[in-house]
Amino acid sequence: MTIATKQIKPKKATPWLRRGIQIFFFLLVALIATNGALKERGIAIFSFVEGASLHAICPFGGVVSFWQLASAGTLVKKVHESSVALAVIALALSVLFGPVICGWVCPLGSVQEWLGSLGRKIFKKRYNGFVPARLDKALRYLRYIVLAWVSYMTIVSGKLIFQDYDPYYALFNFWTGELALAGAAILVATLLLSLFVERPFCKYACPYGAFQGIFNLFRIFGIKRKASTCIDCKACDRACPMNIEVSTSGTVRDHQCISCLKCTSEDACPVEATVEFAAGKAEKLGAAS
Amino acid sequence: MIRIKTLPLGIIVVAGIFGGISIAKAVGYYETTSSKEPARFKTGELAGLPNPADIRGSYTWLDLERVFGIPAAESAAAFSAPGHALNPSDRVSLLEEIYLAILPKGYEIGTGAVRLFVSLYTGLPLEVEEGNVLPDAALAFLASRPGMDLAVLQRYAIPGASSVQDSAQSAKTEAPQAPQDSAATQAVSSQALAVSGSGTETAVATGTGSGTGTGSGTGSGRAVVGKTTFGDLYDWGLSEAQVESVLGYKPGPRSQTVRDSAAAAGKEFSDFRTQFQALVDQAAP
Repeated sequence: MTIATKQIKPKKATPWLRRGIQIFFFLLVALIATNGALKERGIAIFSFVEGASLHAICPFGGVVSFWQLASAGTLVKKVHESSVALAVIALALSVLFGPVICGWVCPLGSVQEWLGSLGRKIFKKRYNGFVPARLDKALRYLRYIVLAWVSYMTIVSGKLIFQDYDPYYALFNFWTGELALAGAAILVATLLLSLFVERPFCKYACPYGAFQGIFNLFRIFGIKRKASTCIDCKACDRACPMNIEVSTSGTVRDHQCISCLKCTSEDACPVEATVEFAAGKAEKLGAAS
Repeated sequence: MIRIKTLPLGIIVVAGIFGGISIAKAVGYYETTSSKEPARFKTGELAGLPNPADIRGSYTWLDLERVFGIPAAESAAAFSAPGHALNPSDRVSLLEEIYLAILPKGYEIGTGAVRLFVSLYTGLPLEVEEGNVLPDAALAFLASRPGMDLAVLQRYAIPGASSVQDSAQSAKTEAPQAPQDSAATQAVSSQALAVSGSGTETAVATGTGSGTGTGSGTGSGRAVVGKTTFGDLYDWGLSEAQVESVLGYKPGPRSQTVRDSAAAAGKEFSDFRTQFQALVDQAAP
């Protein structure tokens, strides 16, 4: 079966949509965090956006506060109600669509992705393929160890223990003087590694990504590949920033998928209605079309 | 079969986040800043009084005046550094930045120091974090209060700074009037301050009234302090059942400090400290 006999998809309709949303959230978070930090210093602030600490708008604070909230009714220090609300919102989105927060919203993920575009230009096809497959596979479980450690330490200490190691916090606070050396070092390492590996922190170390990734196992909407129309060109595999083998899956249940939709027939897949983001059984996809 | 394409998914993500935030705001669960109301002591004779341990960096001196009754202008002035005059509306988190370059290594004047200052002023108990010191002017301000134990204050002086007695003398000359006591201050008749700076825990009582401080039995060298772990308690002869009966819940692992366990359970270390110390003293050989 050749490509010519398949329904060749029309030109991409929304190539900039996800990137636009990523830029929007990056700027929004930067503005809120900057405003919050300036407000703390008593400096005049932008009146059109509410100033808040970065912790107040990070859903991970709500996740690590869960135990304390459930057992004592209080929040971990520096965490506010808003973190809990955002964690619940993210949870609902994850149950439905998987880690869309990682793929569409998280500013640190976006920055890594943008640097990755540069790396892709430099290394071309070698980009995102430097880490040997076996090592890469093993390293991907490291983030669950990080998640377990952060959760345990936060429960035991009642403090936001990850702040000092968090490159996301470092990214928006490098100018405030509140930057911990470890956090700064991890941020620099993350940014440098992004030139070789796509989303290195997301893949190997992000505890919130690990938490979100669990939902890929049972999310309602997921990446589905219709084997009967697939031409086995592996374009979906090459497009996946998380190196998932979409071409061998029916439904992608990989814990690393970030629901970015890059592999779908709207983007990388050259055949229409073959790789889609949908609810239901994979093989039935496109039956009606 | 439901398919979602990029555009609808993008709209759902953005709408889901902002819609969710709007709902959270509508039901009153979307605070992005501290309420500036510290947690209150839950048990004992201090029940209902604000806990200085819960003072956050986002508090201003005015917040401290409102909650603890410490005059904002005076306390802001007492923490001002040369070239850094503080306003009552400034956040106390500014201190860390201001004093970072001034203090010797290992010492800190930040939110922890403000908690200490409030504790000393009001007599409300506090577990003092290691390395916290107070500026000369703050010590002088405290020393000018009636009944204050200068020896206690001297422990929190910046190494190499002038003695508290000298500072107090000059403060009295400059500002002889004592500040108005707050409800919190008046409610506390004695100060019980647990000090963990050097690792040799000593509880001191510097009474402004009857002076019934909770002294800890350090004769055995087994003082229950902030760094005391459950493992320490077991090593000192306490059984897990005894520990659990004091806590009211199952103790954590051996390596966990009692203070961290209390904080994680939303309780005050001071709620347990005296009871543990009594049991440790009883078990001492």
